[in-house]
Amino acid sequence: MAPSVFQSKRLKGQAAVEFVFSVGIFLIIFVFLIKLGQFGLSRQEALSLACFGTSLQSCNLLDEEIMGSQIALFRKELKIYGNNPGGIETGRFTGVPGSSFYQLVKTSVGYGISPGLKGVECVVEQKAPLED
Amino acid sequence: MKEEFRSTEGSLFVPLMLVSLAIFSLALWLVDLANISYLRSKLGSISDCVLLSSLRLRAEGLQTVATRWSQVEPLIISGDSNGIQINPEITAWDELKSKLEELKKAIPGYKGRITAVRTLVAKANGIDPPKVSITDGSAFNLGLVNEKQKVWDGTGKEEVLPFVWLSRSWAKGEKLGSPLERSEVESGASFRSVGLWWEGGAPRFWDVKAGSAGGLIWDVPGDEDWVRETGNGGFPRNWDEALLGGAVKPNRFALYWAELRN
Repeated sequence: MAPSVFQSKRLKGQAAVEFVFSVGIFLIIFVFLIKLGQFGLSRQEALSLACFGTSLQSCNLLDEEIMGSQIALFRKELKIYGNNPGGIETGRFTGVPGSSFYQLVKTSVGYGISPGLKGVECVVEQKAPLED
Repeated sequence: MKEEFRSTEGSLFVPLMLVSLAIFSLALWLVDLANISYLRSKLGSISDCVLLSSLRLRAEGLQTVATRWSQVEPLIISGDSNGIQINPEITAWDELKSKLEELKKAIPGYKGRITAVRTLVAKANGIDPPKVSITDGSAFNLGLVNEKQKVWDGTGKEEVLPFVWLSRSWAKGEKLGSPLERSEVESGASFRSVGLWWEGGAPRFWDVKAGSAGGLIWDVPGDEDWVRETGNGGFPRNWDEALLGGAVKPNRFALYWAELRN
């Protein structure tokens, strides 16, 4: 039996509500995925930058000023997502017992897309000896 | 009469929820894949750091041994195929023996640091040291062998000392041999799946591994004449190569560089 005019309008209204509700959920999932992707990408790029910074330091060939400019250039090239909450720190690493007996150098790079979703990538390596 | 509320146009809610659920599941699967990719990069960089750190300490050890041995050179007058003639001063014997003894005692320390730094770098990079395995440790050996030699002072006093110089154990077939042994390091870690994969009533763990390989090279321009004429790979293979124009110069250009060879 075909629905009456009243029933038809009611069903259309219900469909519109369902549509808006479903699209809302769909959009939430979509935004969540985009943010998750950006977070993952920022973590991966922070790792690349930390590796780059540490390898520059550990080769023991460049002075600090040149290293700083190279790291800044690489960071610009990577276009790290987010606000880089931890910044970039380079220098000697002494955070593990016994590490002061060695010349360990580190680069830590903060990453994240919001204050609640952030982290730090840190890469540590032994510095090369001086050749002379 | 009973009212019928069945839509002839169909409900949107159920299919859209199914699509959303499918996309969400796909997202969880992608998160797992992204985590695997990230962890592989991270473990690869940890393997590189552990390997290079260990090799750099080997290079430093070799360079330091060569520098320390050069401290006995002022006591030596000359050398030939029979051995070493030292300064006839009475203190020269004691000084020579004391410096060589100190060097001999220091060598195990250089060997130990090559191993110890691997544990330290693994910890510093946030990985449990047993998760870093050495699949080939050839390039992590210091590669030096203690050698005895006859020493005399020109007054008739002579003695065979048990440790006088160090020969190299690498590239025995080449005078200009570079320490080309290759070492391999592999780091492993596991992480819990965020959603779709379950095993035994719990989310499954993904095991990820990534390795790195590398070694040392003798850091001199091998095509230069002065290297071909006077070089010996930094350390000699035999006593003849420790001599240079009547002088005892066993460690010539003992400079090494660590490199990745993936």
